[in-house]
Amino acid sequence: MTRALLLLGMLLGWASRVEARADFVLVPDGAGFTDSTPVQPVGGNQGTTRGEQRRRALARALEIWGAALDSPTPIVVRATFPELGCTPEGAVLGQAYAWQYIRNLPGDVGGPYYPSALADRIVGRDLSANQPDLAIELNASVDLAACAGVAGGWYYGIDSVTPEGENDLIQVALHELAHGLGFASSIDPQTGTSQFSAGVDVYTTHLLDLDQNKHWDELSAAERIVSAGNVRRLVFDGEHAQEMARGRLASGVPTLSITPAVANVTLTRAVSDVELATNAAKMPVSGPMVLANPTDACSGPINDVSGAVVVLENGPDCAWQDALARLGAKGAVGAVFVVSAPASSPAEPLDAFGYGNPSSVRAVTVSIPTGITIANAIQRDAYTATLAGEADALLGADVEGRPLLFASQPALRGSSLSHFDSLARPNLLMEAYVQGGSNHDVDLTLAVLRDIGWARNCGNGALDADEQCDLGAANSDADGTPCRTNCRRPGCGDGVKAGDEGCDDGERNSDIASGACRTTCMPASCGDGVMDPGEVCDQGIANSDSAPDTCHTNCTLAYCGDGTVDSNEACDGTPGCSATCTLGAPQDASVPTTDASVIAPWRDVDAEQEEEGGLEATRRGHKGCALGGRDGSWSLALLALFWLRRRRQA
Amino acid sequence: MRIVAGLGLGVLLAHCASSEPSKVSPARTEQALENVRRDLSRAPAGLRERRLRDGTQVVQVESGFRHATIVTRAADGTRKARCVNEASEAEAMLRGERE
Repeated sequence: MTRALLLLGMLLGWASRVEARADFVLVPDGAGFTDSTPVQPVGGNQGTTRGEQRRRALARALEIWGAALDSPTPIVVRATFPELGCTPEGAVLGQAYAWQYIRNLPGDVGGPYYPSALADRIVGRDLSANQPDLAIELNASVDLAACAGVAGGWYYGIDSVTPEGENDLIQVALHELAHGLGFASSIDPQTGTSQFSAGVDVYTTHLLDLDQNKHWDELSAAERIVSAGNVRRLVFDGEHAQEMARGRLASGVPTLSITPAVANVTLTRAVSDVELATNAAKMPVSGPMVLANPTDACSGPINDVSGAVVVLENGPDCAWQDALARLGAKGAVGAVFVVSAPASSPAEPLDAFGYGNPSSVRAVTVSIPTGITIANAIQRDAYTATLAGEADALLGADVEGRPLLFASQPALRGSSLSHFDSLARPNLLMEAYVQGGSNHDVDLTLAVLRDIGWARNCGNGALDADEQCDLGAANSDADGTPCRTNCRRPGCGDGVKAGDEGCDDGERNSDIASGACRTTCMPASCGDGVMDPGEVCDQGIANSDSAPDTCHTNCTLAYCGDGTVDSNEACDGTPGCSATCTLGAPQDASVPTTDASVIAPWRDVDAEQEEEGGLEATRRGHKGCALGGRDGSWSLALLALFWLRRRRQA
Repeated sequence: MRIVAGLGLGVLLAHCASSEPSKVSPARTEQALENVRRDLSRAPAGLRERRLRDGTQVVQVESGFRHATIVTRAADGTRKARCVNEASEAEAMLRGERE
């Protein structure tokens, strides 16, 4: 059928060929692509009818995948654009699937199932002649006024500059097509069983449960059910993915530590309770914990939070940016947002709170149960919170650099296994939640596809996708040769340390990963803005030995005794200044003097509390948190707000 | 990349956005729910497996077993899109019972 379709297309003048390594054949089927509604060209899409714009946008998505992959046989994609309807709450945007799965390939007898496009590539011929390889269906109802009001309309531009509230067709298509190309598990996470009679698909063989230390094709159905809910302990195990993750994912997994420990609260990245921090790796902050009043820090004047880490609700009526700005204006150093995420499931996309947050106030998020426990605890006793980051840990990967997969227990099981964890930063195409601003990048998704069989053919003498050169047996890493063994031209980034390069790890060169060789082929160093091993902070060019509260030029923290008066010091190094950087007053020997983040101004808390009769609003010198108190009304307020929000959503 | 004329070229279902009511009708709602029940079903009947003479095993996906990106609107008007492959969860999202 493929040839017949091609011939028909050429006869009708519809067939077009774009330079691509994998030759995708788009077979638009049905009325959605012939919709003659006149429209204006948008975002680089020159189509003048709705049908034409749909076809052009989808063609662009296929072009992107075509440039990233290679295959000796055409990949036929049957595309439809029917009206799938909508509800008052939402709508399906699009869906895709592999038309066939094939196993027992020549040379791989007894192996896993492969989606047909991949099977064709592996054997080098079309195993499913007269059949499409993939099918994709996009919802035309989204363009109807009734549904657009609920779902937002389609954006058919090809520039990835999607207006707020609209749905980027190319991004949705890239995501769904990746499922059809093999980024999908055949296992039902509810039952642990495969949809196939004789084993699992090739993607599933790469799923690794870190607790059971087994791949999914080695697990029983019962073990898979457990693994599917093993939040942040399920990874994709593949060389390409691991290598690319090290170069692409940001480092600095956020940490929140509370001293003394709060009973019944376990703060560990493994259980997802601490979701994100902002700039955590660059500069840890510490401060006494106080409750926000009002609870969202927005709906009225804020209590005194100077120098504090503030616990607040992620209120529905207050944007996180506004809350942080208001807290920052009041001198807060950190914020702990309590969000409506179940502790046992990866939270909603929370990039707002972390990666890329321009605020000076560091922020992390915790779940409602954890937040309430903390809120109650800090009303009874004094606690100090430290917001920092694990410098070596990648956002969205395990300690070995293997990408985390979405696992959920049990609320969001329908997204489990076949998506990246939402912790990944920068955001990835195959996260369960579709994120904006993707620039239509196929990112780590491509690496996963390579691991399941879409690997490059470097060394075959033909220029393939993502190769800069390929001279076959003449590829060499020796000086003076024109093409490296990894099919890169000689130079920084080729993976070969040469000339005046200090290092070169190829695709693993990174300007955001801790300790990585930088993209300039210079080793990681103090002052590069990334907290590397041996450094406790690194603010890049902002490192200073004279500015207060900044990371020093040797990448150590500001401290009492460094000669600079920091915000929690009255003096430093001047005559009359005490060893704890106070003026005149006798020293309190119990206060540590080397960690500026946990000393003044709250050192005389006991005296203050006695003086004020143990007022619940006073925590180590921070007054004014009048909401709540020992009666637990803050937690009641949190619960009430959470309930109200759920009601609104319902 | 090639674009080939569609199979259903002759079928033209005209619709006019401006004629749509501003409220989602029960029929359209049921249409959406019925579609996700069918398309995301994991019923084994949706798969047809056969063995070819050369020993390869081919599973034809007749229906179901899809991934679908679903956009939902929260009470405050914000939208979120999440990809799922489980019918009951997709239906719950479309009913507003789950984000």
